[in-house]
Amino acid sequence: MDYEMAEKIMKAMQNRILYLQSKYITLILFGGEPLLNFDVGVEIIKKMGAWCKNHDTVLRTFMVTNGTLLTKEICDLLRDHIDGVQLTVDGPQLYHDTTRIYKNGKGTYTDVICALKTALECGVNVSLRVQISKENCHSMDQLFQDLSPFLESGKVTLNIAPLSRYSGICSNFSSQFLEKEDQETVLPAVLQYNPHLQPGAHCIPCVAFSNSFIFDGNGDIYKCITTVGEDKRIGYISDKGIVFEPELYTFMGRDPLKIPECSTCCYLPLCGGGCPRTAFLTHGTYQSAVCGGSKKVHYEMIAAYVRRKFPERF
Amino acid sequence: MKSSLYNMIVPCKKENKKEKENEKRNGNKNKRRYKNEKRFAVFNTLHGSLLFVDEELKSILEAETFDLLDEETLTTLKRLGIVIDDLDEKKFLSFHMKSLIYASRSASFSVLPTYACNLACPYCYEGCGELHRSTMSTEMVTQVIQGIRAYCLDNGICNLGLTLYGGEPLLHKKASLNLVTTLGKWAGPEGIAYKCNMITNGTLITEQILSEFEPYLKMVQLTVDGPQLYHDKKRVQKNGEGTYETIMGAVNTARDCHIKVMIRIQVAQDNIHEIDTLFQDLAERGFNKDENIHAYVFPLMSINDVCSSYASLCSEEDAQLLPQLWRTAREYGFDMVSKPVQIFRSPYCSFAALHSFLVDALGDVYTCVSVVGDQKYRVARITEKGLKDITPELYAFTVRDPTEIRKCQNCVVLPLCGGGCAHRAYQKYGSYQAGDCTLHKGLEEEKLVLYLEKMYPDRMG
Repeated sequence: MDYEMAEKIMKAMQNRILYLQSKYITLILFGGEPLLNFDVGVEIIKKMGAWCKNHDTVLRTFMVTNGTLLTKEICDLLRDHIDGVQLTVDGPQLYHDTTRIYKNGKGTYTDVICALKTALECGVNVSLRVQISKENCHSMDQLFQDLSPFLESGKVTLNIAPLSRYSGICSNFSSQFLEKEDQETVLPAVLQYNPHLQPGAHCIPCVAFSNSFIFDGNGDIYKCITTVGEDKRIGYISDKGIVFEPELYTFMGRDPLKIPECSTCCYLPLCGGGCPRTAFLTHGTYQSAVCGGSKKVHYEMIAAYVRRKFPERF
Repeated sequence: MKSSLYNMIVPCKKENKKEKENEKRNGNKNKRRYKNEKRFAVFNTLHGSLLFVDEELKSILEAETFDLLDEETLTTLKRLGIVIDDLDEKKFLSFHMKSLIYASRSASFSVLPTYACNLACPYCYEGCGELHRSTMSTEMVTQVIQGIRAYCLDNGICNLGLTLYGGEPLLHKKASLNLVTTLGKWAGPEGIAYKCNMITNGTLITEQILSEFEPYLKMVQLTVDGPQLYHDKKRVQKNGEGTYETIMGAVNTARDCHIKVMIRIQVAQDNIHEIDTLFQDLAERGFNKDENIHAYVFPLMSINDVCSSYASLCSEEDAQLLPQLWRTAREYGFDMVSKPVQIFRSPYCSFAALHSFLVDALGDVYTCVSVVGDQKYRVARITEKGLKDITPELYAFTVRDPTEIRKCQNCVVLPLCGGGCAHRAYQKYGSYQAGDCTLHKGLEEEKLVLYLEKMYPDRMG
């Protein structure tokens, strides 16, 4: 993304905020790796921060980064402009260094942990996403031993999620989506290490169904993070502002109450019909259901929550 | 590629000399477009776009023989939404309609401080203040004010509208004034834009009273039942005395106070042919030249069991006489019809929005004036913490989706009517998920013609 496109996107965001009369704005920089285009990212954050202040709206800003470029110098620059960064680890070092790797194949674990330490020392809040798979689920204790000094500080928010086919891309849905074959191995680990078990009726499957847009470097607009750069854009930025395309109405028109499998399912208020993109890829239409092992996830999550909250009853 | 479901086509006059002359001057660049003299206006009700076409292009749109068109014409038709590629128009309409209903930062509360009324109109659907007799207590007024504040804060409201309603709200002036001014003083510092309207019979309006509502009261709606001779037999005090001159005086008082006036002209079976006498009188009083005075005609129809026995109510067929009244009104300088507007820009009913409610004197909350006081249709109660005890009725009413109503979904009028009055549909079919064409079918086309006649007089016959 160049500065010219960044300006167009900011203008589009501002017009959208005014149109919707939004009072609370969340701005997330992600990529690719946003720190590879740091200057443009900082420009967007600073300018949107000033604009929101002038328009009496609350702006919260985050960055999803792989952490490998998150130096002290960067953290010092970010501290005053960003509310937090999200880092990701794929389990203990032995496993992480086989999956989250540099182009030359070298593992990134040490650098991610270093980034975590640096960010916290600089006063930048961190959300740490821990991805669990059937390969790493039995060795998670090693990871949590490494993390314990940071977790004890109380400044790290943990986000435990199964490493599914969407992990690393979609942080919305993957925490509740589980392949059926992973139910016996991954699920117990997810529940064991997750400190925030609190089932909630979100009604929608992900934030894509709220007033959210994803802008890419070309000014194309997406709803679903897994479609960025593909042909499923829901609009684009023209000289006159945002132009919506039919995909927006098809995507947003999904109504799980009219999907037979969903309409009478007791988990519907929790899952909102499940991931619309997975449903589309599986059935060729958003107006379809996709459960995988989600029912089991929700059931076990509720059970674990109740056991923790009312231990005397079990 | 196909023609939009929502192309409304109305005939224009046959020949356009100006256009013909232009055509000659421009060297007859586009032969196909001007070779036929019959002309039509294509108004796309979904996008609000307008294009004048000849009979040949109209036929192409109807037969979808787009291969007969040149690239430039096709591009224009697509840009206007008259021809579409892969857009699902029903989903488009549903998306924008739901955005208006659910994503709005505007709240509207119609508050009924008292059911009492000093008039005895024979068609009153509230029973002239005799059927429901409650008046808001001081405690309830405080509760309603606190409840509205809490609701606005909980829902991030940026625009708050308050409409005083009744009964006659000025019979409980203390409560009305407290509601209007307390909320007005509170809203500004909270960054909430606020405006207040009053629906009143006008008989109690004085300059002193209106000044007490300053600066918040922006508009009053007054009602007349036709020319004085007719009005004074129907819209009467409890002692039978007519109210016409009093109401005309109220219009003048509001003008002097710089408050906008909306005059509702009620049409019944037995006054429909006398309305022009009323227009004449209103014009002679100069109301047609005042930009702060607007008027509209509305047929008196049965809306509930209380009023259904009134003998002169209009039938649905009588409503088809409205276009003639609109034309007559225009002759007297009253413009009652504007360009047809999509429901996702302005909803078909002021209550078809998530944050729009009617609160009665007991603190019961409804979503339609025609059922106020009938507990069966209560959607909630207002407490100091906002709306509580929400009933299934709220969800049944709010989630109505006209794009899913079979008789509506392919109707060219749908983007303008939104399925029509939800409560009338409920009365007829026992479900809100049904359509009601009253006041829309046939009339939207007439509104379009009237708009075109005003804006494009050289093109219309």
